[in-house]
Amino acid sequence: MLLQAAGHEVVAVAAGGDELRELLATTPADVAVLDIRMPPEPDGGLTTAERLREVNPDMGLLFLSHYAESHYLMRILRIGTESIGYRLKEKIGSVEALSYTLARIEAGEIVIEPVLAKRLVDRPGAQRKDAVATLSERELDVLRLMAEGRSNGGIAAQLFVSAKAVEKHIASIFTKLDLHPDASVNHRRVLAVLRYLRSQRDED
Amino acid sequence: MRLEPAGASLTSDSANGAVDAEAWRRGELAEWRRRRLLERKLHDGAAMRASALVLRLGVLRELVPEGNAPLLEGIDDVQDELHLMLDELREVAAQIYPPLLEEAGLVPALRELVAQLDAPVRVIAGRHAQTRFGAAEPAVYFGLAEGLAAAARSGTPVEIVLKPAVSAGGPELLVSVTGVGPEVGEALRDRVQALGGTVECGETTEVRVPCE
Amino acid sequence: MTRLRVGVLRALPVGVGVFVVFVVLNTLPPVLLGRNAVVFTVLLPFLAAAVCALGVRAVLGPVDRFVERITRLRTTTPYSVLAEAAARTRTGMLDTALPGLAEVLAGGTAARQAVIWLVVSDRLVAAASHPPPRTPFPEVANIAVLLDRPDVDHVVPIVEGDVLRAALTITKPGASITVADQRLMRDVASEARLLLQGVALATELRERVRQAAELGSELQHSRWRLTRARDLERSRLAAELGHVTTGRLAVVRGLLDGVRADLLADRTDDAVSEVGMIRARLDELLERFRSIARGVYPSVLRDQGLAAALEELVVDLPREVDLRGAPDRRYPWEVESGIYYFVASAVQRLAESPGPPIEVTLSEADRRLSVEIVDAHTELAEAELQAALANDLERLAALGGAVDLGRTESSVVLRAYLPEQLEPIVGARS
Repeated sequence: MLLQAAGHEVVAVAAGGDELRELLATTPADVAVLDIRMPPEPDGGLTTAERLREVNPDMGLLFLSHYAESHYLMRILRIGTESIGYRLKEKIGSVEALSYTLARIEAGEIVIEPVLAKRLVDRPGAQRKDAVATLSERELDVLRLMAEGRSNGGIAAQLFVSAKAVEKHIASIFTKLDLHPDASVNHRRVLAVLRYLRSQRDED
Repeated sequence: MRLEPAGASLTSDSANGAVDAEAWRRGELAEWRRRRLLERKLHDGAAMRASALVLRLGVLRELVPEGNAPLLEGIDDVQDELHLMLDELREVAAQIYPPLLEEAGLVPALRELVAQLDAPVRVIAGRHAQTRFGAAEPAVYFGLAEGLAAAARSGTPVEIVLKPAVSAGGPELLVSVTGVGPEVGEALRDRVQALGGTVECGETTEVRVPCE
Repeated sequence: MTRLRVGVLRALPVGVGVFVVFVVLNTLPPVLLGRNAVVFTVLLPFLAAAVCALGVRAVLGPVDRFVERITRLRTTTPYSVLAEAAARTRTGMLDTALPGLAEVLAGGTAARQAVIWLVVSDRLVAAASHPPPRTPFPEVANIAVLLDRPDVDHVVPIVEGDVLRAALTITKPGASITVADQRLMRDVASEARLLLQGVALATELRERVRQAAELGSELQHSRWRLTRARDLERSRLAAELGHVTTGRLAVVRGLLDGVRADLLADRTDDAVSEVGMIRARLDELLERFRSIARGVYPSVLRDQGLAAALEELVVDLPREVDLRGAPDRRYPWEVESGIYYFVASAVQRLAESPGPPIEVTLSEADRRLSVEIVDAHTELAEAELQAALANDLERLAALGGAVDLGRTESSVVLRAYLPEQLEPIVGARS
């Protein structure tokens, strides 16, 4: 399969969450790849991941789905904010994309499907009246990449700017959105950003 | 011999426009079940094949000799087409029956829906965000989906408030929509009435739907 | 008998009575009570007067009636009583107002009997009479018969336009009908006419309200049906989409295996051209996909109508199909697509087994668009056809149409129709 073509070693394959946990109890793995909707229905991927993280907190978790749903994103982030990822199945359809995602997860980062991050940041219309509307074009780019879970270095590389410039933008964003600047740690930062974006349209 | 539709939700008197309300309600519920199954089928059939092909292409790409630009481009193009197809399939599936509606319930599904609309819509449910509303869920979801698509162009903020209620007939869902015209009420009316609920249009559109 | 004489007749018994009272009261007590009642003697005339005053009042009623009976002359103006009865008619209740009118009529004309007849189903029926009869009156065929009756002395008909609605009759044996009588009868007649009109309006109003409620509910149901039909169409399209996509993607998968083989064998040029072919197939699939997903599919149906769309449909089938009878006008989208998909489902299923050409005939009549599908040789069971047509059956029914199946040993005839006009489906009673 693609994983093998990319040079990764597949140590276990299971049809359902329970089977997977059994296999992983005895075989070590760096990253577990799960379909959110795998058995046990309806969200076996999430429930299995919760258990796996308890037992083996260092193992990375990559969630795949045919749909990019922010509802599940929030649930995933509750399971963990490190070594965790959520991607659309077809978007990791090349060795390059798959390897990149797995590498970031293994490195402890969060990887969020860009389609989803974009949807969260780019709320529709010129009618946007909240603080995000005050961000500049560049700041929006940075915000989107932050919502994808990227580190400062990662953002800098994507935008072809220096890490320092990125830090400045981030500071400005946080001020405008009135978020706590204790955002030196990447995953807390992502969480803050995502929570903020979601809260703009919902009341829970 | 006359071939009757299997659902029998239409009276044999169908020519004169009359309808047995209870039979119609059961017909609605049966229709929602069929649509859930159809979405499943689309997901497990067409979508699964398409994403499997994408992965296959990914593997194939590795077999391409270094630097063969036309072939690499060709494969990339085909992958892109498949991506587009999957996007379209997702849209169709969402119109048939969004899986989130089945799995997580009305409020999460509505939030996902409004996130993709071209207008500022808020869904307010308080502590009832995870509550399930039974038969009312697809009727309200699809009614709102149709209504909001027709309504939202003016830029006025729209608020949808949902809360459960209890009546003599059992649990109910109450929905209030502000910031929209009568299109939302119109779209909700047929589906909601068919289940025995009511819709009132005014400054606010007020909806009451039985959950069973 | 003049008024004067009547007056005298009235006065007479009263005068006599007063005289008697005075005499008795003035003479008797002194006799009874003796020489000591001198005081009383002074008061006695006053006492007598008081008794007379009270007595006259009490006696006047019966005296009047006695005199009336002798003289047959009314002594009170009936118009005050008529006004009272008219007040009652304003409430519009026939059963309380009519007897009141009859009473006014009898009293005002001093008739022995007054009857109000109503026209019910072309006969005259006694609806009220004063005084109330001991035995019910018979029905009367028409007003001429009424005139012939021995107990009827005067008849006044009540008409609306040239239609007889009711009649008033009075019985006054041995006395003549005066001009005043006639005038009173005419007045009562117009009151009755007003009353009857009011009642007719109320009935009509009730009927209208009932019809409106029925119509409202029919309209509501017809809207439900249309929504259901549209939902069914969307499901149909999605299923079609899934079917088409799965099929085509299976083909692409096969082609990909070919590309893989080429790459492994270093036939890169072949690989390039095959990938190109795959690309083209996907483009085509995506196009079709989009028009299906947009809900207006197939586009040839929208652009050129039913006959053209069916022609395109049958080209790819493994069996020949004979298309006849192209409609000469366009119909609403739901009608054309309803028939289109029905034919598509049926013909696709029938064409799976070999046989002679399937005949498909379109026709327009009785404000319906109809289609007849004949397969002269098939082994399909009814149940299988029913299953293949399930979605279409529901959709056609929801739109106000129907499907009939005729089966002989080897042949099958399917007939389906839809009304040419969709909204409102109300009133499409077969």
